[in-house]
This record gives sequence, structure tokens and C-alpha cells, in this order.
Amino acid sequence: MRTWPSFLSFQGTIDGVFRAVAVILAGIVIVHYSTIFEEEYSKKLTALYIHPWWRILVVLLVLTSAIWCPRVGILVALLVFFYLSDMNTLITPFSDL
Amino acid sequence: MSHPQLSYQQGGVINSINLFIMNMDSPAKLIYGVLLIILIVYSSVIPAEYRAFADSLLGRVFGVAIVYGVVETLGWVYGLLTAIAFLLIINGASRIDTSMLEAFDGGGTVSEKKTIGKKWFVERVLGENPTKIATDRVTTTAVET
Repeated sequence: MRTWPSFLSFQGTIDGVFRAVAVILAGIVIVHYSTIFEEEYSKKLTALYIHPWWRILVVLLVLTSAIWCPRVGILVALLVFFYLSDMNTLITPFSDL
Repeated sequence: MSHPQLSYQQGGVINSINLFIMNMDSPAKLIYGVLLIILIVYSSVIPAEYRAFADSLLGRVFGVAIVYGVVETLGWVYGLLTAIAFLLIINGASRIDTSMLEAFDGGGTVSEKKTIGKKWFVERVLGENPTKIATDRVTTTAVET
């Protein structure tokens, strides 16, 4: 019987199911929003970016995700990087790009 | 008459907090983590000179070495945050050397003039710093219907 590599396997517990769901959700968001620059984020995400406390919470999300599960943490880190990068590009003056 | 001995309840929130404190990283690691969070949060205000250096060959080699060193010494979670910070710094670097870029080129037929005085509104909004202008006169003609 073919099995997943150890770093990709999820336990059959409730925690394992939640980790798998988080990985799938993060993957969907990355494919849908992060990989396409022209795909706009929601107005709330755009408006919240200018607040430092929001960006701190976003980074703490990466930290907690990584502590919870390495797979989820890596995907959330990728997601957050694209979000911060896109927002930073949008507020940069055109002449400085 | 004997009084029952007072006993304190074990476990609950107090036990969880103690467990949390005992499993916390060293202060040096925590300080580095806090500095990283601040660096990521305020990555958009890092000066262009530092970004340009990070985007150079030497800067990239340094960056990858730092990320690798952090992963080996502090752990992969700190390495992940370091990688995010490094990528955000590189990402904000200007791809074009705008200091030498001038939209207007006289080409011999137009007399170039140096920019003197206040900026136009659009130049202030877009952060443009023109060094020369092609002309300061505009010729218009009447619109005929």
C-alpha cells in the first residue's frame, strides 16, 4: 500500500483534519489571490493594511501557524508574504517602482 | 476540633501559564523575534539604499547565508520569519535606475530647460523628480465645431 511521505502525512485525529483543512484553504487562497497580481484583495484587507497593529497580527498568524503545524505555517507564510508584498507595491509611488 | 487543611487546586490556567513560561524560548531569541516582527511590519519604510544593497549579488548572498544561519542556530520558525523579512526587503527594491531615467529627450529639435522652482501637483503626488523639461510653453489652437 502506498503511503504519503512523513512530512506530508496527517494524523486521522480531529487536529489532523483541521491541519489538512487549513492547508487546503491556504492553498486555495494562494492560487486564487496571491499568484495573480491583478486579482484584487477585498476592501477590508486593503483598508486594514495601513494599520501597523493589523500587520503585527498578520505576522503573529504566521508565527502561531508555524508553531501549530509546519505545513500550515509554510503556506500561511507564503500567503502573508504575497499579501504584504502586493499591498506594499500598491502604495508605492509609480515612479519608485 | 480539627480544621481541615487548606489545599490549593493544581492545574487549570495557572498550570498552563507555568507550562507556557517553562517552554518559552530564551530572551535573546524572543528579542530577535520581536525585532523581526517589527522589521516585517515596517518593511515598507526601509530606505531605498538598503533595499538596493539587499538586491545586489553580495546582498543576496548575505541574505541567504543569514537565513541559513538562523535556521541552523535559532530554529526553522525564526528562519521562516527571517526569510519573509529578507524577501520583503528585496521585493521593495527599485528595478530600474530612475536617477538616470529621463522621460524627455530633446533630440536636437527641442531646447531643453532645467527644472527650476516648485513642482507640479502631479509630480508631488506621483513622487516624480524630473531633471529636465522639453519646453515651458504650450501652443494651443481653437477648437472648431
